[in-house]
Amino acid sequence: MKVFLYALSTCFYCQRTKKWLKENNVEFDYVDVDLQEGEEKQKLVDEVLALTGDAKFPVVKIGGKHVVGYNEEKFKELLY
Amino acid sequence: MSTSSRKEKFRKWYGEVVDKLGYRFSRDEELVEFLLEQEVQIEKKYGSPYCPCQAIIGDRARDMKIVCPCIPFHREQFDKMKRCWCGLFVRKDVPEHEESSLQQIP
Repeated sequence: MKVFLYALSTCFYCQRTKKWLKENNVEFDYVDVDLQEGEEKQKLVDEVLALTGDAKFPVVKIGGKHVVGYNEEKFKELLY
Repeated sequence: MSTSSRKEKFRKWYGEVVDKLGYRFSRDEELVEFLLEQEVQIEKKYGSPYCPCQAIIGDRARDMKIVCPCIPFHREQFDKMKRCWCGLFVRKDVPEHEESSLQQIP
């Protein structure tokens, strides 16, 4: 299942999400939105706004669903 | 002003402000240090200490609502979570042993 993490490099729980995914051997791609520039950054912010209706991080896309915030139970629910 | 002295200014000022709102700093000192450090860098880059866990979207009226401490603008949600989104502040009525189990609820 494809897993993608929208993160901010400044966000404590985004770091924790990366750590949790690694520790649980989940293959994932991620982007630190705040480290992108110009149009690419705005495009990513717009994606998060469209997906979640807000711009709170972390956002984890798992298959066709997503989880906003660090929530191990919800990660497991969608992963397994 | 150096990063460490700005960080201490934030610590003092935020402490006073959030106390009146019924919140206190998280007791997770690693988290507090990390987030305050990020806020100093965010202020240097963008002019205000925006929340480190929410994106600036380019709409000034909305973006001003995520300047730390942003509790007054997200009162209902944060009161329900018993913490702010990034976890820097926790409601004063949360016992220390329950603090680590608080969840982010979107």
